[in-house]
Amino acid sequence: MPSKLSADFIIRLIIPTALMAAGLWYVGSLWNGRMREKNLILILPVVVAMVPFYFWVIYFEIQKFRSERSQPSPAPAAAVQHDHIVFMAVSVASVALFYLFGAVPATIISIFLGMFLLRIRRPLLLAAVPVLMTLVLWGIFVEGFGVRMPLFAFP
Amino acid sequence: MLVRAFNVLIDPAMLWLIPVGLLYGVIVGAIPGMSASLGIALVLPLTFRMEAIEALVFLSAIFTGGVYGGSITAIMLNMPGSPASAATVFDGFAMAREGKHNEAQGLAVGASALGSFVACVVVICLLRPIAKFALMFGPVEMLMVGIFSLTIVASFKGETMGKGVMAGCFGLLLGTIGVSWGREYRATFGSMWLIDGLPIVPVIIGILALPGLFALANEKFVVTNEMLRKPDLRKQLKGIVDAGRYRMVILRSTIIGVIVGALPAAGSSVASLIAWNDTKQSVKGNRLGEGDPRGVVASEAANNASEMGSTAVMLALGIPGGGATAIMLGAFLIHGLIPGPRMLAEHLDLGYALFFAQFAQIALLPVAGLLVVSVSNYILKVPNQILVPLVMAVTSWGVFTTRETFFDIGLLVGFGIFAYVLHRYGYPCISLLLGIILAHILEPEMIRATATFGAENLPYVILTRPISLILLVLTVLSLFYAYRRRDVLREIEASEGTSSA
Repeated sequence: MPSKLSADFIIRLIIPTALMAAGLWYVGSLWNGRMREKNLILILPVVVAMVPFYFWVIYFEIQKFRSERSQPSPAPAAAVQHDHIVFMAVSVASVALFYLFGAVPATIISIFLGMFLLRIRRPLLLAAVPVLMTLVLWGIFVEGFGVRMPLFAFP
Repeated sequence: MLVRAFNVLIDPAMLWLIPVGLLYGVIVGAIPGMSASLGIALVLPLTFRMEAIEALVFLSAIFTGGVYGGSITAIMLNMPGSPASAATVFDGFAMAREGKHNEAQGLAVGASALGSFVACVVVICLLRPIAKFALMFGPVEMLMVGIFSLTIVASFKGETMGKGVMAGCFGLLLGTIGVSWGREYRATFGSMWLIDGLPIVPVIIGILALPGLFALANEKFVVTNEMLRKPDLRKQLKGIVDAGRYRMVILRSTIIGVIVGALPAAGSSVASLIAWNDTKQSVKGNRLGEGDPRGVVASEAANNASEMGSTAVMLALGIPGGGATAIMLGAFLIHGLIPGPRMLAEHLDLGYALFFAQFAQIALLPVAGLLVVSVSNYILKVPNQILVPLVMAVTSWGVFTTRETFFDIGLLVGFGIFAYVLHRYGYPCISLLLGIILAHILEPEMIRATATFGAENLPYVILTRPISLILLVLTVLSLFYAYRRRDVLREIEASEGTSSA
C-alpha cells in the first residue's frame, strides 16, 4: 500500500509540474517572435499567475501525502478501473483505425473491440451490432447530411 | 405593421415549415458533435427557392430546435449534443443517474419553451434598445464580460481552489493556440488543423463527456434501478409544468441569455454557464451540480434566450452573435436583404414576423422535444457494454462533420483522456473548458482595448465607463459570494463530520 501511495503522490506532483512547464515552454517559444507584446498579451499574465498557484498545489499535495501516510491504514486513491483503461485504449486505437482504414472499417472494428473487451460474448450481438450501427451512421451522415467522409482507405 | 407581420405567418407553407424545421433541429441538436449552426448550414441550399420569410422562419425553427436538442443527450448520456448545453450536463445527468431522467427532460423542454417565450416578448418590445445597448459594448466592456465570466471558475470545487485556478489558466493558454494577431504560429506543431485554434466541438465533448463515458464502461446501466429506466410521459409532462415553478430562475436566466446572446462572439454556451453560476450563487440551499432541477432550468432558459438576443442584434445591426446567426445572415443576403438599421426601417414587418413565428415554434417545441425524447429514452435500456462503444462511434462521426477531418476525432479522444486524468487527481475539468472558451473573448478584446486606450490607461478607463464599472462590481461580488459559499460548505461538512462522529 505505501508504494501505491508513493506512486500516486509522484503522479500528483507530475501533473501540476507538467502544466506549469507547458506554460513556461509556451511563453519561451513566443518570446523571440514578432510582435511579442501582442502575442503574449494574455499568455504572459496567465503564466505568471499560474506560478503561485503551482506552489500552492504542490504544498497541498505534500500535506495530503503526509496526512495519508500518517494514518494507520492509508486510504488509497480511487482505483483506476480496468474497464476505464480498456475503453480508453479502444478509443485511441479507433483514432488510428480511422486514419488507416477509413470510417467504415474503423467503426465496425472499434465497436466490435469495445463490446468484446467489455465482456460481450454473444456472437450474434458482436457481429450484428457493429455492422448495423455503421450502416445507420452511414445513412444519417453520408446519405442524410451529405457529409464527405472517407469511408474506406487503403494504407 | 404588426398585422402585416402576422399576415405573413398565415401562409400555408408555414404550417409544415415550422414543425419540420423544429423536429430536424431537435434531432440534429441531439446528435453529439452536431450543432444548430451545422444543421442550418446543411439545409441552407434547400432554402434558396423559398420566399425570404419562409426561409428565415424555417432556419430559425432549426435554430430553436437545435439549441434545445443538445439537452437530450446531455441529460441522458452526460454528453452535450451542442456546446449550448454544456451547463445542462452538470445537473441533468446527475438527475438521470438518480432515475429522474423523465423529470429532467420535461424540465429542459419547459425551461427552453418558457425561456424562449419570455425572451421573445422582451425582444419584440425592446428590439431597438437591445441593439443600441449592444452597440455600447466596446472592447473594454467585452473584456470585462470575459473577466466576469472567468469568476465562474471559483464556483467549481476541485480538491483545492489552487487546482481550479491552475486548470482555468491552462485552459486560457490552450485557447490561444493558433495563428496570433502578430501572425505568429502558436503551438500549432506544424498542423494546419490548429491554425484557427482548437475547434470548440471536439474539445467540449472531449472534456465534458468522455471522462463520464469512460467511467460508464465499468457499470452495467446508466440508471441502475430497472424500474426507473422506463420512459414516463406523465413525469415528463410534470417536468414541463414544474419548470414554470422556478419563475425567478427563468426570468434571471432569460435576461442573462438575451444580454449575453446580444453580445458579439459571447455565444450561448457562455450564456448558459453564466446563468447556471448566477443560480448557484443566488439561490439559497441549492444542490447545483449534484442534480438540482434549477440547474437544468437555468441553463436551458438561458441558451434559448441567447438565441433570441443574437437574432435581435443580427436583425438590428447586421452583426452575427455566433455561428448560427452568421449563416442566417447569409440567408438574408441570398434573398437580397441586408440586415441592419435600414432593413428595420424598410422591412420591420419581416423582423416582427420572424419573432411572431417564434411563438408558434415555442408552442410546438414541447411536442417535437417529447417526440424525440420518447424515442431516445430507450437508450437507457441498452447495457453500457454495448451503449458505450456505440456512443463513442456516433460521437466520432458527429465530431468529424464540423470540419470533415479525422484530426478532430484525435482531439476528441486526446482531450477526453486528458480530462479523465485531471478529474481523477482533483482538477475541475469545467475550469479548463471555461478557460478555452473565454480565451477567445479575452485575448482579442485585450488587444483592441490596449490599442484603443493604451495599456497604462486601461484601469482608469474601466473605472470611468459605467458598463465596465458595473461589470467590475459584479466580478468582485461574484468572487465574494463564491468565497463565502465555500466557507459555508466547509462549515456544513465540518458539522456533518462532527455529528456523524
